[in-house]
Amino acid sequence: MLEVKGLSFGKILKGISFKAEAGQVIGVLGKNGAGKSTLLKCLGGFYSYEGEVKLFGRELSSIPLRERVKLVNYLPQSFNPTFDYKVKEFLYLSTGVEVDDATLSKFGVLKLKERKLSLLSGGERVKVLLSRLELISPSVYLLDEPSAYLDPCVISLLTSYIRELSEKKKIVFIVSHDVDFVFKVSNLFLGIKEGELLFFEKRKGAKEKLEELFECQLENKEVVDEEKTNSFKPNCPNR
Amino acid sequence: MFKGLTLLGALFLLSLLFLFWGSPSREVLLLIRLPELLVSLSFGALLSLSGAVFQNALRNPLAEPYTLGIASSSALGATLSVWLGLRPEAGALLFSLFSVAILLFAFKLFKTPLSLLLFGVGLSSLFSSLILFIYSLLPSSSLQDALYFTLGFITPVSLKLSLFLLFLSLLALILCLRFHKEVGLLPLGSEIAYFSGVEPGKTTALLLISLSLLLSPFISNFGIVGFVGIASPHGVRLLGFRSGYSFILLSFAFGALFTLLSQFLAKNLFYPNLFPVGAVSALFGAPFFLYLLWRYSGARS
Repeated sequence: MLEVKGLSFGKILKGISFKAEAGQVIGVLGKNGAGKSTLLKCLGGFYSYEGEVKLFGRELSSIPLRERVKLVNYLPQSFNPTFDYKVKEFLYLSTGVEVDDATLSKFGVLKLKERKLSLLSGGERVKVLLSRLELISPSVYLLDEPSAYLDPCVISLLTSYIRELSEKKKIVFIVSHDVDFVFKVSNLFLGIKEGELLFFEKRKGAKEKLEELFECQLENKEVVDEEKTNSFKPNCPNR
Repeated sequence: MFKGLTLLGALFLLSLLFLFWGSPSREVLLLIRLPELLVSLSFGALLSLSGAVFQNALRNPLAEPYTLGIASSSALGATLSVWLGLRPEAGALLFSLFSVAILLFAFKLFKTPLSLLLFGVGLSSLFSSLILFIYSLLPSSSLQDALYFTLGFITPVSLKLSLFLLFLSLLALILCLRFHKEVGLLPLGSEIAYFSGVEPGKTTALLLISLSLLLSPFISNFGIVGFVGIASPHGVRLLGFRSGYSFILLSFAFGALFTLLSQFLAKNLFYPNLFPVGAVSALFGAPFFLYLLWRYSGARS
C-alpha cells in the first residue's frame, strides 16, 4: 500500500526502503537528528525527496497537492500561528470540511470551539490537531512528536485513537522520543541511524536492536505489554 | 454582517462629504474631486489589501509594502526614471520586482519577524535618502517636492487615469478573493499550510509579486503612503474578521475609508495649506503600529 524505495533527502536520509500495509502502526525511532522528522516530511511530500514513494501504486509527487493531502496528512511537531484564529475557524480553514460537533467532542475540544489558538495548552493543541486529522481522515497519518509534554489524559486519548486508526485499516507513523510510548502503541518499528535504515521489524526484533540504535546501555529493556497499559485509563473530566 | 454594512455606509457617507464639501462647481466636482476620490479609494484599498496579504504570507503582523521597503524601492525606481527621462511607471515596476526578490530572499534568511522588519527599515531609509539626492539633481524639482513624494501626496489626475487605477485595485481584489483560502492558511505556518493543500513558497511569491506590481503605478504617481497597510487589516482583525472572503473584502473597504479620511483631512484641516496624505495617515497609523509592536512582541516572548 505504501512502498518506499531508495528514499534519500540531502545528506539527512540515505536510501531508505520499506513497505507498509493497511492497519500498521509504525513507530519511528532514532537519536536526535537521525532524520525521523525528515522522513515523515518526505512521506508527506513536504520535502522533495529522491527515490520512490508509492501510495496505492501512485508516485506521491505526481499526485496533485490538494488530492495528496486527503491521502496522507501530518501532525506537526511545533505550531505557531501568527494570527489568533479561533479553534473552529482553524479547523474549517485547514480541512475545508464543515466542523461537526461529534468529532469535536470525541477529542474533548467542543468547549474549546470558540477559544483562540494562542490560549490553548500543549495538550489542547494536540487534541485540536487530532480533530483536524479526523476531519480530513486520510489513509496515511504522520504524527510528529504527538506525545511530547502531554498529561496522562491526552496520552490515553492519543493511544486509543491510534488503536482505532489501526482498526480502521489506516497506516500510522509515529515519531517520538518516548520509547515506552512508541512500544505501547505501535506494531512495527522503524529505526533510523544517521539517516540510514537500521531496522524495520516487529516488537521483538526491534527491542533487540534498540541499544545499537541509541548507542547506549538501556536500563529498562522490558517493554510494557498491552494488557498492563489498557488497565491504566485515567478518568478525565474534559473528555 | 452588520459591522461590514456599517463600514460600507461610513465609506459612502464620507465619499459624499468628500465630493460635496464646500459645494464645488460642476467642473471642480467632475474634473478634480471625482478623480481624487477614486484615487484615494483605490490607493488606500490596494495598500490595505497588500498589507493584509503581506502580513499573512510572511507571518509578520507588522509587514506591509511600506515597512518592508517595497514602496520606497518603487518610488526610487520612479524617481530614477524621471531623472533618466523615462516614464516613472517603468522604473517603479522594475524596482518593485527587484525589491520583492530581495524581500523573499530576506524572508528565508531572517528567522524572526522583527529582523525582517528591521531589514525593511534599513532598505527604506537607504532608498528614501537616494530619492532625496536624485531630486536635488532634478532641475525642475525642489526638495519640498521630494519630501511630499516620500510622504505620499495625492495630486490631481485625469479622470481617465483615476479610472485606470481603480481598475488595478479591483484586479487586486479579484486576485485576493480568488486566493482567500491561501491567504487564510499561510499564517498557520508552512507545514500546516502545505498539508492543507497550499504550496507556501509559490503562493507567497505569486501574491507578493502581483500585489507589488499592481501597487507600483500608484507609487510612481503619488509616492509612499505608509501605515494604511498596517492599520487597516488589523482594524478588520480587531472587528473579528480574520479569514475568508469577509477579511479580504473588509480590508479593501477599510483601507479605502482610512485613506479617504486621511486625504480629506490633509486637504481641509489647515486649508488652504495642503498636507501630504501620508503624513496624516501616519498620524493615526503610527501609534497603532506601536500598539501592535507592543502587543505582538509581548505575546511572542
